Amino acid sequence: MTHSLHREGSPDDFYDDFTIICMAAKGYNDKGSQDKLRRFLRLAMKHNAVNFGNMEAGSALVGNPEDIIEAVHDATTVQATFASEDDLVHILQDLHAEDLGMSIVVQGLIEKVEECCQKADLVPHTWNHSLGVWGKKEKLPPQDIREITTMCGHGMVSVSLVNKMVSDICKGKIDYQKAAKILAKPCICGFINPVRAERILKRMVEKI
Amino acid sequence: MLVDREKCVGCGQCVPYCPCIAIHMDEKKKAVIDLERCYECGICLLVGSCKFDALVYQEMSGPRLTRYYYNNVLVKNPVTGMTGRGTAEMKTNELTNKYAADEVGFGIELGRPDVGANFRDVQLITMALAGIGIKFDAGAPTTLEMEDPSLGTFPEAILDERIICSIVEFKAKTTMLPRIIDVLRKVEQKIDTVFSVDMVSRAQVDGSLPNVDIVKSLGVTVRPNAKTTVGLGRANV
Repeated sequence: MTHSLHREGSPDDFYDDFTIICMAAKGYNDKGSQDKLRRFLRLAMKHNAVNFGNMEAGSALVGNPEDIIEAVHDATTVQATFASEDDLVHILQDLHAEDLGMSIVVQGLIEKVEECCQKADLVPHTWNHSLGVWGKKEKLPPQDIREITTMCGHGMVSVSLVNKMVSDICKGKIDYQKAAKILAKPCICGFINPVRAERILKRMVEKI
Repeated sequence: MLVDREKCVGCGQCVPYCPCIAIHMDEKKKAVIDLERCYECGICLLVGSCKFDALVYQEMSGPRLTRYYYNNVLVKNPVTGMTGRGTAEMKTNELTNKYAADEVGFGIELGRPDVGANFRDVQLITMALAGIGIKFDAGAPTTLEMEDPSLGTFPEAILDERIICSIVEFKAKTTMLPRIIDVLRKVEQKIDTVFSVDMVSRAQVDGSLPNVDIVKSLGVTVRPNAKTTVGLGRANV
């Protein structure tokens, strides 16, 4: 599943949006991977991940971080989201030093990912590039909405929920921070970046 | 997914969480789910939108189960033996060597983003790709649903089942890239939904990515953000 690919936005908008997936390869190094995957999540917390999670236990923005770490078992795919280039560099440096032997997949603006890898003395091995959206594009919701919904690669954050958050903010029912947290609820993996979500919501509200 | 009308208090909290706008409030102020639209993803229930336990899974069988297994990200699909809609693709390539330096990998993600699709849409693409000799990833959930992977066909019974996304996965020699892009361009004129395209490239020894250069030369836009595996699974370079 390519759930961290296809995040939409302009290059200027990705300066605070990076994700990392940590996983074992089935049949290669999945046995005994539990502690290594848990260690990754501990490092993510140490380096100020703005969200993290695993598909079976949900995301830290919604649930209890300790429960999410506890729920990890051999071969769980775990992931974390970062809002700072420095934090990304620091966790990559730690991962390199600790040599967990787990596959690490970094997503972000290509030139920034390359820079951060270089600072951590890491060399990109294989890339997955997005060639964008094809087909009947007139069916797509507006760009602003997609910039939020595409943070959840499983497509679980609905267009209706984004519209409701904008409406509730405008009515003074909730603030931006609460809205970003509500948007994170359906994204079980922990890929919603609340910092970026708040920024996009502000932009949407200002347009009204 | 069904609504227990006895328990529903008409608060409407579940409505905005539905990714396919299948939930609405009826004239009696009770939530109603349009089962034709419903993906059976269960997200309305999973997020805890109903404090009164009024959302319940219905009993499912046959093609409806395919819809459920494809869309509910927490459920293991008995056909594929895994959760989710795709394989590990390039994420562990430093260990698995799934993609070689002279190959290109593809994931064609039907319905993504925000539009959805059905297997009839998927089949339009898979038949066209099979027509140029593409061999689909034998371990991918979408391939495992196929009736005849050599033709890219699916069982008639599931063709109209609605899915949030289905990922068509395959790899080919880099020399096939222009033909693959040509097929995708032709299909996008006919298809009634959207699809997102992922392209996998193993870096050459000098770090270069010929696949990217080729698609750019064909006029394809490559997004500024991407993902990369950085070889820490103990690299086999």
